[in-house]
Order: sequence, then structure tokens, then C-alpha cells
Amino acid sequence: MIDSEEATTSEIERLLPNEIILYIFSFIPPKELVSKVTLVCHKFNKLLENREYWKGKIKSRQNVHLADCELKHSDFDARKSYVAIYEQKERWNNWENQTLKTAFGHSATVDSVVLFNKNSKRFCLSGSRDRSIRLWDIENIERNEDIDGNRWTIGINDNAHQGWIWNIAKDRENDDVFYTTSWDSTVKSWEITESTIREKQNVRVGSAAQCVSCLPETNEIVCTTFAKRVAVIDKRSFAISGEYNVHKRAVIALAVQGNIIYTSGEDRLLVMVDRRNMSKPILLNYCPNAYKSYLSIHNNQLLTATSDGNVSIFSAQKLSILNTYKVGIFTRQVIIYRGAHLVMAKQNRGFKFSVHTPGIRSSPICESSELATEPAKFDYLPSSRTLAIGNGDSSIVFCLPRGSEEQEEEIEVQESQENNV
Amino acid sequence: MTDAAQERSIKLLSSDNETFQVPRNVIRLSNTINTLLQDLGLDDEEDAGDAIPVQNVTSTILKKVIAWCQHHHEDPVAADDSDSREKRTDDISSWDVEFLKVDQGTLFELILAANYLDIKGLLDVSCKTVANMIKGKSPEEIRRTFNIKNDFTPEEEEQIRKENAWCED
Amino acid sequence: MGTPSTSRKPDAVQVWNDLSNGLNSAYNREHISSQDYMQLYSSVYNYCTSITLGANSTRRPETRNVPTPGRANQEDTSFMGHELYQKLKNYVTDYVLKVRERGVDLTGESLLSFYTTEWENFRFSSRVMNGIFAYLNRHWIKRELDEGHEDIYMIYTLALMIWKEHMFGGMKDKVIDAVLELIKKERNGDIIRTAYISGVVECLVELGIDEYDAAESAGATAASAAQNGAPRRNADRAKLSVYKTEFEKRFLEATHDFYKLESANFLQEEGNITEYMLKVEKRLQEEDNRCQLYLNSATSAPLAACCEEVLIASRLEVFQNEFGGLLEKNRDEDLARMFKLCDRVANGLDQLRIGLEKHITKEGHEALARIADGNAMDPRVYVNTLLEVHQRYLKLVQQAFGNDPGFMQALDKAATSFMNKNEVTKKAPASQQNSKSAELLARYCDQLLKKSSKMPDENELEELLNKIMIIFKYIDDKDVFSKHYTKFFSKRLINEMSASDEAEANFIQKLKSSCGYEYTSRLSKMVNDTQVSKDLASEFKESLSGDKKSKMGLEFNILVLSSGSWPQFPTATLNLPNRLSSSIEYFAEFYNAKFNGRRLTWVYSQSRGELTTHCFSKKYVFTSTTAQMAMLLLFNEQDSYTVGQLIEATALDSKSVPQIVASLIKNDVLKSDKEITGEEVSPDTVISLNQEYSNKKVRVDLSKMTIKQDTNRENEVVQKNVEEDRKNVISACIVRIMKTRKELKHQALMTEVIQQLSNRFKPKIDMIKRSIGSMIEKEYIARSKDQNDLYVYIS
Repeated sequence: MIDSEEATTSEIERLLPNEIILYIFSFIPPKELVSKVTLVCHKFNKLLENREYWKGKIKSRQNVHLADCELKHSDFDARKSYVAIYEQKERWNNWENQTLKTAFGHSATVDSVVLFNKNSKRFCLSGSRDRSIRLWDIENIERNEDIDGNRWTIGINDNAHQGWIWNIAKDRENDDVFYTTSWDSTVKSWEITESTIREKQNVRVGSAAQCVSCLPETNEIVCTTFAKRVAVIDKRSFAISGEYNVHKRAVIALAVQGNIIYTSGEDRLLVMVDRRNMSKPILLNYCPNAYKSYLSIHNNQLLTATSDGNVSIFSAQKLSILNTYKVGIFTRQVIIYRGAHLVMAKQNRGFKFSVHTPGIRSSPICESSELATEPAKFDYLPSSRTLAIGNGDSSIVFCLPRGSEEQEEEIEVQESQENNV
Repeated sequence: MTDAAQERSIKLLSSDNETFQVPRNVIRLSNTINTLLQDLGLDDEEDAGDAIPVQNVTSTILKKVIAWCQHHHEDPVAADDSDSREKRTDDISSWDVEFLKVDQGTLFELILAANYLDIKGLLDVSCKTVANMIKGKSPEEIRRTFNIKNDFTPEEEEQIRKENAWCED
Repeated sequence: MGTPSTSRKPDAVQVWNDLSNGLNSAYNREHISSQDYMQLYSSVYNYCTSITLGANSTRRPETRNVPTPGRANQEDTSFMGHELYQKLKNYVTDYVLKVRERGVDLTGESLLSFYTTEWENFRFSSRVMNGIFAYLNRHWIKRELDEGHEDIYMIYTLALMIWKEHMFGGMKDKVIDAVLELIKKERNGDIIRTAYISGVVECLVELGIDEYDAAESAGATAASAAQNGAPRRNADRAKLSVYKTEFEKRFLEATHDFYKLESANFLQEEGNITEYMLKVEKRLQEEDNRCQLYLNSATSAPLAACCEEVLIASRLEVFQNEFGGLLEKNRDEDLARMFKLCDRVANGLDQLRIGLEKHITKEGHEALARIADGNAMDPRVYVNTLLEVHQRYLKLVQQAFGNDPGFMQALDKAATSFMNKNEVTKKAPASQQNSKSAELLARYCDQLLKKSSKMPDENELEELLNKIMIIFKYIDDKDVFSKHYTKFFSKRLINEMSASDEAEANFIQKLKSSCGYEYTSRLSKMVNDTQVSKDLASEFKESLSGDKKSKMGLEFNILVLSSGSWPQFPTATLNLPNRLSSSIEYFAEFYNAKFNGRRLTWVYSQSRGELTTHCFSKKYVFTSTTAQMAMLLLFNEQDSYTVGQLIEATALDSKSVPQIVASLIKNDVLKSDKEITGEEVSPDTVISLNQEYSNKKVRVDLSKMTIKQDTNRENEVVQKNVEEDRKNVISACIVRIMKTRKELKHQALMTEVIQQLSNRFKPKIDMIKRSIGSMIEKEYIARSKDQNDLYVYIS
């Protein structure tokens, strides 16, 4: 509806110049701005649409310097990044200010955890050296003790593999499907049903299977193995449809962006290969000092955990180092998100989890105290702000933001009220 | 407003031709006036000189602005003025809260006056107040608070809602 | 209520007209009233804010918002702000170009006058403009900078950038030329308007600052700059970048050329080093003042370095050549000046130090050569000569050369050289030449510490002893000194000739501080023995029962020496008359009762006594040696004896008796029937008491005559002892070193030995080699089988 004149324009729109309106907005959390204030009127929406404005604020307000390669990525959105950075800083502003819940159930090291939401409920899949897979209900864990009527483990497959389960990856399209790798040299696909976790298919890959990831564009998955082989497996036939053998030792880390596969091995090589032409790697990077123990990729930035206690961020296209920072004496795992770098590293005496700002001049946001027990791997889900750490003592620690439950409820109530209007 | 005999005082003239005498060290909170006095060399002169016209601010508002400055003129200067300082809205002093319990129109006029006269403290506190009126509200509530017309078509609204739906990654 | 300008959409053209009129006023330095100012400020404010207000602007978007990168985006604000900014930029550029036009033909001082005036105006006006457009700075420009558009600047910075590019860029060569010309004039003595130069300098500095500010505000925020110190340092450097590149570099070059020429001319024409140094000092001060007054303080260090380079460093040879002359002529003030100047440059003092060493060595040798002819062997003269030279140059080093360690070292080296081997020592017999100095020094000590007619008082003595220690430090053969000193010291102790016990102890303490405990342990023991003996003597006296005492019938004093500590004395048998021998017996009894297992050996050669004569016309008291006494007491029995009888009676050997007899005859106490020449006296010569003996004095010392002061012989003995001792010391040292190191190369062993013994004496290479040889023989060490020059310790 287009109104005629200024008599009906609100004072706030009529009197305050844009710069002042934006100044007022700078006192409001960006998430709220994006989800609420943009819906107030065109003027506000337009002000908050301007990506240049958000880009400027990333540098000036958050003191984050983003890499050129990220800025050029098609998925880059300055506003989304700003909000993500802000949110991560909020989430991790104080390690002590969390609710920690330890979930028991497995009987050996939990080597892999994956958090996901389904139908607005929060779940976690875990794979362990006890050869079993478990499905956890996080709400139950938050709510109460692990008793009948409030079971924490709501799904389990006891004999999922014949060896340690090393890695789990969820299928990108089908919410109920996921893949596992194990030291029993197989890769398996699974389906979560009402009552069970059911094995669908499996394939032998010749040696202990390490990491697994989905190749979104070709309906395949890729996995790395102990015996230097990187195998591509067709999702439907579940047969090996491609491979490369460039590494000289076990291939221990994996990341995928589009059609490009990145692997790193104990041979200190970092290899970049295009799925469509696996005969020849695009680029190789050799580092004599350390090998990369974990890879994570987002918007053209390849974040690597190195065995000498550093975190290095590479341009995914040129494999050139953009920044390196020290986190301990051995870096076990890193995950890169739009809003932060999450790191697990060994210090002199124990392990610490830390969070750093994204970009090429990362600075630390938060560091945990020394973890009580040696961790294996972690996973973080931004939408639920939950961190899950699988540990060597067979437990899983869930780090939940304090007071998150109440907030969620409030908002739900409001929304339902509005809908009634 | 007390007249400190030893202090110099500056004359301000509101848009509706009312004159106000303000002690020099109170009006220093306005960067605009400060810069003017320095640049035109008026700081070295003994007498107050002619009145400085503040043509964008009415007497009602100017009076309030001066009152605010009077109350705050001895506040310590914030050391770190940079953008990256955390922006809180829960730290408004009770005096300021009372001071800003005015109708919206006046509140916005105060913001404009602070913007015009470049009085950071007043600008901050009044903007924070408005921000607090926005925070935690749904779009419809925000509109109601400020009497903003919803100029979206339902399709437009739906589109924006979908696009901005919070998907974290 | 309601702001007047809300609904009025400003007419861009009108607004700009108003503003440019206002700017004209500002740049023409016309008076701007506060009304005008606020009017202009409000124009800008209204213009910027009104764009975004009002009904029509952002109500209905034409297109869906597509985020477009770069500046050409939909925002009206941004566009308008940009337009205003651009207009402003053009305005200022025009203005600056016009200014440049007016000054394009100027040079020299008129150019500087023009430039500095225009610059001042420009700064002032731009400040005002910055204030008027403050709103633009605060919002639009800030946002542009946040978004990373690096070619947008704050208004004042923009003005400076424009000035820099169009005005300064075009004129800088001529301006800097003019500045340098002025400075040159001032150096040549003219008075100049320094305000021109300081104005240009300030301009340069400000142009640098704002370049940095622009980069800063575009990049990191203030917070991050505050966190790490690095940006701040970069800030300081960046601020002066324009100043340094455009001015300082050329300035230093010009300075260099100017002074190169000046110093060359000066030295060629006048050549007087004193004058030159004064001039250099003056110039250095001048340049420093210049820098403080109207240049930037960052230049003071490079400027000083440049001047020092040209005026001092490149002329070092001249200084070095003249240095010797100044020393000769004792031109202390000039020397001090030269020191200060040369100290400023690297390695400036090296040659001077060498020169000083040479000079002092020469002076020392010459001084000693002068006395070598005269009473060379007089210890006092010798030592004083050494001291004189040393003191003179010590004062010079302290006062003129600021106690510089290198110069002190030169003095030390020179002193070591002339104090050990000089014209005086050369006069000594060959075997003693190396140690002559040590000996003379020891003798001097003896002179000072002995009882004499003219005794220096306590303070004087202290001073003299300290001076001796100064010389002592330089003596190579300290062990020789030790031997001589011990010898003299024992004489003093035995003959009770010390002037002051305190002074003796004091000096021993000084030696101990210098050389360590070992060096003085013997001396300390000797003192100890003396003390103990005193106690023993009184104890002995008390222990004597009545009749023994009377049987003894004489005063008896004893000095018990522990044999290891004291020098060796010749022992001879002597038949003591009964009166003397009973004392000996009693004491021996006493002593042996007190101490078990010790053997007493009587050293008659050092003993003496007093005789009272009743046989002459007057009563005399003779002090004599025990031997003399034994002989004289014989004359209590008989009036005359033959020499042979004397020999029998005293049990002395045939050589000593004639000596003693001769001495007594010389003293007129005895007479012989034959002429006595030399030491040959036939056994049948008859010796009898001289009844006519007379002497003015009542107390006569006969003992002085006996022992011929055969200094030479004595010295030879000392020397031989020293040689022996040294061999032992070297051997012990070798073994000690090898025990610690286990194995060592030949050269390293030599060096180590020399170094360890440096405090005592300078061992000769030959001696060390021989000692090594003997150690190998004695199987303390062995030559390694594989490497010829490697020694191995045998445990």
C-alpha cells in the first residue's frame, strides 16, 4: 500500500536521518535486526540490506579481516557473516557460562560425533571404538536424568562394525541417511527409522577407512584410508567409482568443496584433486615441519590443524597460506564456520578447546579450561549453539548455552501469539 | 542553572530566538560549538561575544540539552572511543532514564539536537533508549510503538521472512 | 516543534553556492562570524540529513535490493555525500592550483616567504572548512572508510593531500633548494629568517602525518592499534616520511658537501690542529643548535653523524699525526679536545691509544736514561723517576682522556714496558737484568720502612706505600720482589730496625690484597715468629730461678725463627765464652721442655750483643756481632793473641777470623803488628787490644763493618734461588693444569701456564719447555701417541 503523504509518516522515519537510524540499530543484536527489524517497513529493510555497510562493520566493529578468497565466493554474504561473527562471540564469551552435560553409554572412545536437528528437535549421532552407533536425544539429556521415559540414547546399533568406528557423515539430501567408516575396512550407509538404525549398504575399501564426506554434486561420497588410497563411492550402487593414490602414508584428513577434494596424510602432503579428473592432482602442498591432522573448509578457506600445534588457513584455490596461529603443541581438530574457527588442541598438560575469530587475522575469543578427560573429536551446530565432544573415556560432553531453553520458549510463545492476530 | 562567576560563559541563540547563557566548560560537551570557538579564535577572547545561533534547535529542546550537559559536564571522558567497544543498552544511569522519559517526538528532537551539536554522550544515551524500545519486540509491535505504517505487501513480507529466516552455518 | 528544514528538500545548487561563498571567505582569511559559521555548518548538516528524510526517498524501491559491490549503490545518501565530497575536492584543488599559479615564478627567499605564508593560511582555512563540514566527516566519510574505500579522506586530511599533490609536488624542488640555500648562508655567517625554514619543516611534518592518518583510519581500528605497539611505531616513522624523503636527505647531502669543502680548505691553508679542533667543536655545536631551533628533532642524530663523519672521521689521519706532537708539547687541553672529538666516531681513538702507549714508553725510557748515568742504583731516585712518569700520564688519562679504559690500558702497557726493562736495568749484570727493577723497588721499601733520621709521618708514609703498590703492579718478576723484600724484612725484624710495626703490617696487607694470601704468607709467619718470640722471651725470663739468673748475669733476648719462613742464614760454629754459653744452655733447656721434638739451631751470624768496656779511658758501650763479642771477650783474659790462637779459641774458620779481626782493627778497637791488607792475614800475626781507643760517641756500633755489603753476590744468590723456585712453580702449575684438563695441546698449555703465572712473573718459554720435559720424565704427563703436540695427563 502506498500512502500519500507525510502526515501519515511516522516521526521516526520522518525526523531521523539514516545514519542516526543505523546508529540506533547498532545497539541492537544483529540477529534481531535481520529477523525482526527488516520486517517493519521498507525503509528499515533497505537500510539493513546494504551489504557494503555490513562488510564495513565486520572490519570496524568486529575487527575481523576476511580473506579475499572468501569475499569472492558466491556464497559469501556480508550480512550473514557479520551476524554469524557476532553470534559466535556471544556464544563463546565465557566458557564457564555454559551448561555441561556428560552422557554415558558407550564403552570405549567415542571417535566421532555429529549434531543435527530434525523437526526442530536436536539430536546427536555418535560412533565409537566399541563398534556401536548411538543416536542421542539432546532435549532428554537437558531435561532430566537418563531414566525410563527420558532415555538419552534413543537409537543404537550395537554391532555396527567389526572395528573402531572412525568417522560419521550425514547425507546432504536425505535427513535420515548417514555414512560411517571403520577400521574394519568398510564404509557403510545407514538409515534412521522410527525404531532402529538400519544398515543399508556397505563396501570394502581395502584397509582401515578413516574419513568420509559427501560429494554434493555427483551423488557420491569420498573416503580416505590407511593404505594411502582415497576412494570415491557411488551412493546408489555403493561401489567404488573412482580413486587416487597420491599419498605415501595413511590419509588422515579430508575436506570437500564442490567437486574439489582435499586430503592430507601422515606423509605431510596436502593434496587437492578434482573429482572429475582424479588422475592428476591440481595442487600439492608439502610441509616438512608437520602434517595436517584435520581439514575443514568453508567459502574457499581451507582451515587446517597441524601436528606442531598450529592452525593454518589456506586459500582453497591456490593452496597458499593466508595466516597461521599457534594453539598448543598438537592440534587435534579444527572446524571453520562463517562466524568463527573452533579448535581442539593439546597443551603441555591437557587439552583445551578454543574459539577464534574468522578471517586472516584471527584473534582468540574464548578458551576452555583444561578438559577433564582427553577428547577425541567434537562437533558444533550453530543453529542450536550446541557443542558435543566425544571423549577417550567413552563419554560425550554436551556444552549447551545457559538459559537457551527459556529463550527458545519465549520466542515460540510470541510467534504463536502473532499468528493468532 | 547556576552561573559560575569565574567561568566564561557562551551565549547560544535557539531557532526561535531565545538566548541561553552557558558556562564554557559545560558547553564543551558539544564538539560543534567547541570546534567553532577554537577555529574562530573565540576561545582566547575575554567576553562571550555575540550569541552563537543554533538554528536547528528550538528553545524547548535547547533548554533540555543544556540541562543534560550541565548534569554531565564533569563526567570522565571515555578513553576508548572506538567502534569495537561492546555496545550495551542496560547501562543508562537513572538520572538519564528520568531525563528521557519524554514523548517520542521530544526524544527524537533530542537525538537530532545531539547529532547536530555533536554531543556524543547525549546521542548515545538517547539512541540507546530508542534501541531499547525496539529490542525484544516483534515487527508489528515495533510498528505500533513508533506508529510506522506497514508498507509491505504480504508477498513481499513473506519473501523477506523466508530470505532472512535464521539459518546458521 | 519540528525542525524547520524537514520538509524542504534542499536545492543542491543553492546549497553549494552558499557553501562555496563561505569557503571563499574562509580561504580569503576574511572574518567569519559565528553566525556565518553556524549557517554554513547547518547547510551541510541539513543537506546531508534531508536526503534521507521525507516521504519520497526510500518508500518504494524500484527493484529488489541486490547488493552491489562498490560505490555505485542505490543509497541516495551515499550518492549525495559523494557528490558533495567531490565538489569540495574540486574547490580545494582549484584554490591550490591558483595559489600555485601565483608562485610559479618565485625562487629563493621570496618563494619561501610566499610558501610559508600561503601554507599557514591554507592550514587555518582548511581547519575552518573541516569544522564546517564536520557532519560529513562524522558520518558519510567515516562510513566510506569503514567500507574500505581507501581514496576517501577526512576533510582536513583531504585538504593536506591536495596541497601535497598539487602545490608541494610542483614546487618542492625549488622550495627545498631555497631552504638549503638559506642554511648555507647561515653557515657562512649570515643572519637569516629562520621562520621560513621552520615553517617549511612543519609543513613537511604535517603532510606526513596526515598521509599516515588516512591509512590508519581506513585500516585497523583504534582499538587494535592500541593493542599492539607495532602500528604506533610505524606511525612515528610514517609521520616523518615526507620530511625525511623530501628534505632531510638533501639536507644531509648538502651538509656533507659543505663541511667537506670547509675542512679541506681549512687544513690546507692553516693546518693548525688546535685551531681546527676548535672550529670543529664550534661547528658541531652550531649544527645541534640549528636542529633544535628550526629543524625536526629526528634529524639531530643523523646530522651529528654526518658532521662527525666529514669533519672527524675522514680526517682521522690528521688527528693521529698531530697527536704525538701534542703529547710532546704537553698540550693537555688540546689533547682533551682531540679525545672528545675522536670519541664521537667509530674507532676514532684506536690509533690515538697506540700513539699514547708509544709516547709514554719513550718518555719512560728517556727519563730512566737520564738518571742511568748518575746515581742509578739509588732506589729512591729510581722509584721516584718511575712514579713521576707514571703519575704525569695517569693524570693525563684521567683528566684529558676521561679515564677511558683503552687509554688506561695504553698507560699500563707502556708502564709495564719501561718499568721492567730500561737503561738502568741494563746496567746490572746480565743475569740480574730482568729482575733489577724488582730488586730496586724492594730496596726502596726497605729504606722507607727502616728506622732513619728523617722519618716520614704516618700519612706521608701511607701515600708513599700506595705509590709503591702502583709500581709493584707493573713489575713482571714479582717473585723476585718477594725474595728481596723478605730478605730485607728479616733483617729489619732481626735487627729491630722497623720504623713502625703498623706500617709493616699495613704494607704486607697491601701486598696480600694485590697478590693473594700465598704471596705474603711467609711474611706473615715471620711477623708471627717475632711476636711469639717476644712472649717466649718474657716467659723464659720469668722461669729463671734466682741463681740461674745471677749466674747468667746478662740481658738475654731471643728470637726463634721457624726455619721454613725465613731466608737462609749462614750457620757457623762458634765457641762461646762461658758467660754467653750458659744462657744458651738455659734457654735450650727451657725451650725443649716446652716444645717436644723441635730442633734449635743457633744462628750466631745474625746475633749481636752489647759490651760495656772498662778498659779504656772512657766507658764505652759497643754493639757487636756475637762473633766479634766472642773475640773481644777473649781479651779479658789476655792482651794479645796470634791469629792462629784466635782461630783455635773461637773455633771459627780461618777465613772468618781475619775478617772479624780486620773489622775490629778498622774500628780501631784492635791493632795488629803487621799491616793488614785485604783478607790475607797470616796466622802468626799478633793482635792486641788498642789501649788508646777513643771515640767521640759513647755508643759505638762495630757490627756494621763486618758484613761486607756484597750486594752483587747477594743478588746473585737471590737470583739463583729465584730461578730454582720458578722451576718448581712452573712444574707445579703444569701438573695442576694437566690434571684439570686431562689433555691439552702444546700451544694451549704454554698459554695457560703463562696466564696463570702472570701475577708472579713472566716465565721464559725455554724454562716452560724444560719443565714440561722434566714432567714427562717424571711421568706426570706424556706425549700423545697419535698427535705429536698433544699432552696427556697420567693419573
